[in-house]
Amino acid sequence: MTHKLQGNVHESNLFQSKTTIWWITFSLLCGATFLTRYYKVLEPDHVCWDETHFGKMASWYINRTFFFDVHPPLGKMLIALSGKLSGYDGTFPFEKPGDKYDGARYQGMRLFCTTLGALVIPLTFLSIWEMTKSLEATFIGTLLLLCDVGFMTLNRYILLDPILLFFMSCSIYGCFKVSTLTNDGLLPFSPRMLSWQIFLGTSLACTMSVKFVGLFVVLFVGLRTVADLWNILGDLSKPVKFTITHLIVRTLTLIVWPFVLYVFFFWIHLTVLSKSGNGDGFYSSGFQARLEGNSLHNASAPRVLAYGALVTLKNHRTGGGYLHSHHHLYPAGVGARQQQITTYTHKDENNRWQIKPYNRERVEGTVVVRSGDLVRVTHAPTGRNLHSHRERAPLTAKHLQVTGYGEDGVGDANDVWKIVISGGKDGEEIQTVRSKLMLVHYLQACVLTTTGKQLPKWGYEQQEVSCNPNLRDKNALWNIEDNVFDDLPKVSFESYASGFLERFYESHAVMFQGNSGLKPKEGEVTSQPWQWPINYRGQFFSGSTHRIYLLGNPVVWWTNLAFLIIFFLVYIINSIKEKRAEAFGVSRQVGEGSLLLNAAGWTFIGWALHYIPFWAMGRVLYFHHYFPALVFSSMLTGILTEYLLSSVRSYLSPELGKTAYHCIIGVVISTTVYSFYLFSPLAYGMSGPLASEPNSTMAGLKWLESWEF
Amino acid sequence: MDTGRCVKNRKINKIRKEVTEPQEYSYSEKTCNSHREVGDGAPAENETEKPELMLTNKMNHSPSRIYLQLKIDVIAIGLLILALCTRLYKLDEPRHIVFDELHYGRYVSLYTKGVFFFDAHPPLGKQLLYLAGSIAGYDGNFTFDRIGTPYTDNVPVKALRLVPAVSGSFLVLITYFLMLELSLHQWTAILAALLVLLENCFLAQSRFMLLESIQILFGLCGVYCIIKSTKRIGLTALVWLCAAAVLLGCCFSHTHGRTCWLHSHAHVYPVRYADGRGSSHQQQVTCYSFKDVNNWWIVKRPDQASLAVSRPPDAIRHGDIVQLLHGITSRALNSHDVAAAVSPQSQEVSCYIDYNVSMPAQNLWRVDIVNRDSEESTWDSIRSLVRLVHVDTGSGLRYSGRQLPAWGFHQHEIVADKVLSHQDTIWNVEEHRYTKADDRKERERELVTAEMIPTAVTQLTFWEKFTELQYKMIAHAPDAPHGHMFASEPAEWPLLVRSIAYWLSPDSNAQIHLIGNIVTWYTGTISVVVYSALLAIYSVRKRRACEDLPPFVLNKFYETGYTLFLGYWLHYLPYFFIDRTLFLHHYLPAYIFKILLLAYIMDHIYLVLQLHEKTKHVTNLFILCVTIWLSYIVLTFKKFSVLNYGNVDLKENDLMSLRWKDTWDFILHKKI
Repeated sequence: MTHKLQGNVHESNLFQSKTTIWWITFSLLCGATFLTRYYKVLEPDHVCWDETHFGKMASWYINRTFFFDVHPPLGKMLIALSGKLSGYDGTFPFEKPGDKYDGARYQGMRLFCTTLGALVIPLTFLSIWEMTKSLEATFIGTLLLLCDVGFMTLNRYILLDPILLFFMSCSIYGCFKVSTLTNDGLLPFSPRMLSWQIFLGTSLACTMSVKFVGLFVVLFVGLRTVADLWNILGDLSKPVKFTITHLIVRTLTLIVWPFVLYVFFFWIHLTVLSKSGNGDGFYSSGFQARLEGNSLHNASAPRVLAYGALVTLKNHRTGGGYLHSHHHLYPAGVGARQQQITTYTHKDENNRWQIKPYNRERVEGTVVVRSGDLVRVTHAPTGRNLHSHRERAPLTAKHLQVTGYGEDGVGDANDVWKIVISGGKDGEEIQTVRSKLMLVHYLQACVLTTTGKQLPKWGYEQQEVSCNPNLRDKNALWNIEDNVFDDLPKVSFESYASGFLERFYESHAVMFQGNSGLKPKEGEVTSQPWQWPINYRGQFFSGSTHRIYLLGNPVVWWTNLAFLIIFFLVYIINSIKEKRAEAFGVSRQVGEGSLLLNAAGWTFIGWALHYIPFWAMGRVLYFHHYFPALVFSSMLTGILTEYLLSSVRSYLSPELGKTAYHCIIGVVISTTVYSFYLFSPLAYGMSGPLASEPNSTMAGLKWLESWEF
Repeated sequence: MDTGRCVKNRKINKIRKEVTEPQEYSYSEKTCNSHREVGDGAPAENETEKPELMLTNKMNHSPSRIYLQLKIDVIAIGLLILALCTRLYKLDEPRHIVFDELHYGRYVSLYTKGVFFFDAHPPLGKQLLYLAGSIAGYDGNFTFDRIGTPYTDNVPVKALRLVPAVSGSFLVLITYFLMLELSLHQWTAILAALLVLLENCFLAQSRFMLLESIQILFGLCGVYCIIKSTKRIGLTALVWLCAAAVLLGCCFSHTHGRTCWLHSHAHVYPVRYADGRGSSHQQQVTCYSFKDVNNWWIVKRPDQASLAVSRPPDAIRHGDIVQLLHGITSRALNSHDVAAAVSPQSQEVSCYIDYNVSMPAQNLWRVDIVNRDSEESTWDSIRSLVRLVHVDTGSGLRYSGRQLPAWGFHQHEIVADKVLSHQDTIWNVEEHRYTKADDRKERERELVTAEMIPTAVTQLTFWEKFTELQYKMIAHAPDAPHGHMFASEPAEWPLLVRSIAYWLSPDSNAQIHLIGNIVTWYTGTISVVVYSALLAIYSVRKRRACEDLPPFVLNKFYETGYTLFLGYWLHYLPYFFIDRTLFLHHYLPAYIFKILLLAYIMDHIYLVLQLHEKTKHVTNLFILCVTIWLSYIVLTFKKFSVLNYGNVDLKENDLMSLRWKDTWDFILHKKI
C-alpha cells in the first residue's frame, strides 16, 4: 500500500518511519484479529442458533432442491460453495440448534464465515485511514471493533451476518477510496479510478445479494457519491462536461454493473435449484413447471378450458393453495351446516373440480369456456356445487360463507358463478395456467377469494375460503392448473413455464411478502430498536454445557453510545462557531480538525442510515440487526476521540499536552483490551453455574438485570 | 438599493386601487421604508388585506388627532361570501348520519349528557361541535348507531354542521391571506383561494360534522402567524409567534390513548364461543373505558373474613398475597387454565362462581410493585405501578388490547398472560376508599352513592398524563379493521385512485363521496414534480455560479416555495410509516399545501416570463391558458358537486359519466 503524502525531501525520513509504524500497527491488529477469531472456532461442535437455517439451506443448494427464503441468495450460495469445496456432502439435517455434528464436515463452512468476519477488522482499519489519515483515530476505532465480544461472536458461525458485514465493509472502504481518488483529481476513465469503482460496485451488489439490509449501505454510498459529484461540480476550473463524464461512469459502475451482478446471482440461484423441494407451494404454476420432480414439470394439458373438464384451481395469492373441499360440514353455529370449502396447499384428489354450464349438466362436443360465461363448479369427488349465500364467513365477518351444496351437481340458483378473466375482454377463451380468473357470484355479486386465515380444528387448519362483496380483492384471482379433458389436443406445460425474468420478478414478490409477513406473534417478546445501542439484552447462541451468548462488550457499546451524543454536541457547537465566523467574514478553518470532523459526520450518517430505519419496520427485529450500525459507531468513536484529544492538546503546553495525550490513549487501549478479556467467555463458551450465582466464572459481570448469561 | 422595490410596491398598490381607498398612498410609501430594515423585499400587503378597524395614531401630527380608518378588502369579502354560499347551501341535507358523523356525533351526545369518555382525538374540535349543539338546544338524546340513520327532529343538524362549514369557508379566506403574506402577487393569492374554493374534497369535508376542516384551518392560521412573526421584529413578532403556537396547538390532532378500568358485571362468559371453544361460563371480567360503579374492587387478605378496613389500616406491601373482590357482585377475581375468549394463547380471567364442578377457585394474586423503592414498599394509590401475578399459574393480569364481541358488550378483554414483562400488565390504583360496611347491601349502596359524588382529581401532573398519552399513541395503534372497502394507500393519493363513499340515500341513488377536483388534483401533483425539478436545476446552476434569475426571484423561490414544498411532504411522508388503515381524507392537510404550491408555481412561471423581453409576449398566452384551465376546474367542480350535496338522484348513466377513473367506486341501488 502506498499513500500519497505531499512532503518535502527532508520529511522523507519522517515519512519512512511513519509508514513503518503504520505497517506495524496494521499487522498487529490483523494478527490479533485472526488470533481471537480462530481461537476455539470449531467449538462447540453442535448446531448453534441460526446455523440450523443456513446450514439447511446450504444442504439444499448442494442437493439442488428448491426452497423458499426471505433473503437473497448470495450468502447462502457462498456457504454452500465453501461447504462443497471442503467436503460437506449435504446430508446433515441441521434439524435444531444443539444437534451434534457427529462427523458431518461443518468445519469448512464455519472457517469460511469466520474468515470473512475477521476480514471486516482490517477493512475497517483501511476505511478509517482512508477517511482521516490519522493513525491514532484509525487504531482506536479498529481496536474497539476488534475488542467487541458480540461482534466476534456473531462473526464466528455459519450465518449470513459475517458475509454481509464483510461485503458491507468492502463497500465502505471502496466508497472512501473512490472519494479520495476523486478529490485527488483523477480522471473518470483512469484505470485506477475505474478499477476502484468496479470494486465498489461489485461490493454493493454482493451486499445487496446477501440481505436486503444491504440497501442501507447502497444509500450511504449513494449519498457519498452525490457529495463527490457536487464537489466536482463546484470546481469552476473544470468544465461541466467533466462532471457529466463522472456521472456517467458512476452510473455505469455503481448502478448498472451492480444490477447486472445482482440479476446474475439470481440466475445462478434459480439454475442451481432445479429440483422440486419444499418451497414449491409458494410459487405460481408457471414457476413450478420449471422444477424437476414437480407434477407440472414435463406435464401436458389442453391449452384452453372446455365445459366438462376436470380442473384444479390455484389461488394467485403468494403462497396460496388450491380450492379444496371434503366430506365434512361446517360445524353448528358457523353459518349453514353445509360442506366445507377451503384452500389447501398440497396436491390432493379433493382439489378437483368440474366446470359446467349454469343451466345444463353437460354439453355436446367441445365447447370452450369464455370470459363472462355463467358456470357451475362441481366438486368432483363429492358432487357438491360451489355455493355461496347470505351467511357470514367463518372467520371474516364481512365476507359471505362459501359452501358445497346440492347432490350430484343438482343445486340451486346460488350455485351460479360468472367466470371472468381479470383484465380481459368478455368472450376471451380461458387458458390453462395463463388466465387470471375471477369467480363472481351471480346473485350475491361477490367474488370467490381466500383470506389466508387458518380455520380452527374443524377445518383441519386449512385456509378459509369466502365470498368478498368488495370486487377489488387482490386475493380473488385464480388460475387453472391441472386441466383434464380428453377431446382437446394437449400442449406441453413447457410453454407455460415462466422465463427467467418472470421467475426473477416472482421470487422478489414472494420474498417481500415473506419479509413483511414476519410479524411478531401475539405474546412473543421481541427485541426493539431502542434496546440495541444500550446493549440491553443479548441472544443465546448455544445452551447447555457450552453456553455462548451474543452480547456486546458493554465498555465498547456504552462508549460508542456516549460518543454518539458527544458527536451531536460537537456538531452543534461547531455549526454555531461556523455561522458566527461566517458573519464576521472569517474563512472556515481547514486542516486536520475539519478533516476529522467531516469523517465523523459521514460515519454518523452511516450509523443513522443503518439504525433509524428499523424504527419504522413492522417486521420482527432481532438484536443482531444492530451490528452493521455498530461498525459505523465504532469508527465514529475512534475518530471523535482523536478529534477531542487533539483539541484538548492544543490548549495545553506541548510537553504537558503530549504526556496527557499518551496517558489517555494508553488508558483507552488498556481498558478496551481488559474488558475484552473479561467478557470473552461469552464468545468462547461458558460452563458451570449462571452469572447470578456467586461461584460462577462470570460472577460480578452481570451488570444489567436483563442479561441472561 | 430598495428603490426598485418601492416602485414595485407602488405598482401593486395601483392594481389595488379599485379595492382600497386612495389615501393609502402616503402610508404605503412609509411601509416601504420600514420594510427596508427588515430587508425581506416583501411588498406591503398587510395594510390592505383585512376587514379591520385600524386605529392609527400618527406621531408626526399632533397627538390629539386620532384617525379612524376603516378598510375593507373587497376581494376577501367576495371570496368569503362565495365560500359561505357553497359550504352552507342546504346544509341540513341529507338529514341522515353521514360517514364519521357517526363517531363525532356520538361524542357530542356524550358531551351534552356530561358523560366522561375517552377518545382518540383531543377534545377541541368536539368541544366546538358541542358548543354549537348546545347553543341550538341539542339535548343529547340521539344514538348515533350507524351510517345512514335518519336524524330525529331534536338534533339540530344545521347547527352542528355549521362549525365545520364555517371553518371550511374561512379556509378559503386564510389561503388568500397566507399567500399574500408569503409576498406573492395578489392574483396568485386569488388563484390559490379559488382553487381551494373549487375543490370538491374540501367542500365535502366541510359540510358534515367532521373535524378535518377545523384542523386544517387552525394549521394554516398557525403557519400564517409564524410567517407574520418572522417578518416583524420585537414585540409584534413575539405576539404573532404566540398566536401561532396557540393555533398550532389547536390543530394538534390524532392521539390515541385508551385507558380503561378493571371491570366486571353480572354476566357470564358464553358456554361456547363462536369458534367452538368452551369457556368456564363464569362471570366476565373486562376492561371498561368509562367510569362506572362496576369498576370498584375490594382488596383483602385471603385469611381475613371481614371486608371492612381494620383500624389501624393494614397496608399492603410488595409481595403480599391478596384477593380482589368485585364491589357490586362480591365475587373474587379468578384465573385458571382455560383459554381466554379472544386471545386463546392466554388464560381466561373471571369472577369466580362456584358451579360445584371440579373447578376450584384460584383467586390468590401476588402484588408486585414495579416501581418500588425497597422490598417493603407499600401499595400506594396512584403512585404505585403494580403487577398482579396469579399465584397458582404465575401469570400476570393483563389488558390484551382486543375487544370482546357483543356478548361482552364490546368491552376490552382481560387475560392472564405468562409473559410478565409486557407494559399492559401494569396497573395502578386510581381512586380508593376504605370500605366501612361488612354487609353486602350496605356496601353496594356505599359504592353507588360514592360514585355519584365527584371524587378528588387524580394526582397525575399534566406532563405525566401528556407523556402517557404520547406513549400510548406511539405504542398502541389500535387494530383498525383492515381491508375497508374504501381504504387507500398513501401511494395512491397523489393520483386520486380511490374515493370514499360517505353516504347513500336510502330511496334514490343520490350519494355523497369524498372525491377531489381531479383537474386541480393532477395539476397539483404536476406542480410538485415541477418544483422538485426546478429546485434541482437552480441548485446545479448556482453551483456553477450561473445567475439566470435575479436574486429576488430566486430568494422567493427558495423561501416561499420551500415552505410550501416542505409543508406538503411533512404532512404526507409520515403516512408511509403508519401501519393503519388509511383513508383519502388523511391526505387533505398535505393537499392544501400542494394547492398553495401549485399557485406559487404559476406565480413563479409568470415572473420568469416577465423577466425577459423575448418571453414577455408569451405571458398573455400563459394567462389565457391559466384562465382556460381555471374554467375547466369550475366546470369539473360543478359536475362533481352533485356528489357533495347529495341532493340529486343520479341515474346509472349519470354515475357512469362521473366515473372518470375505473378505480372510483360509486354505488347503485340494485334494481328490483
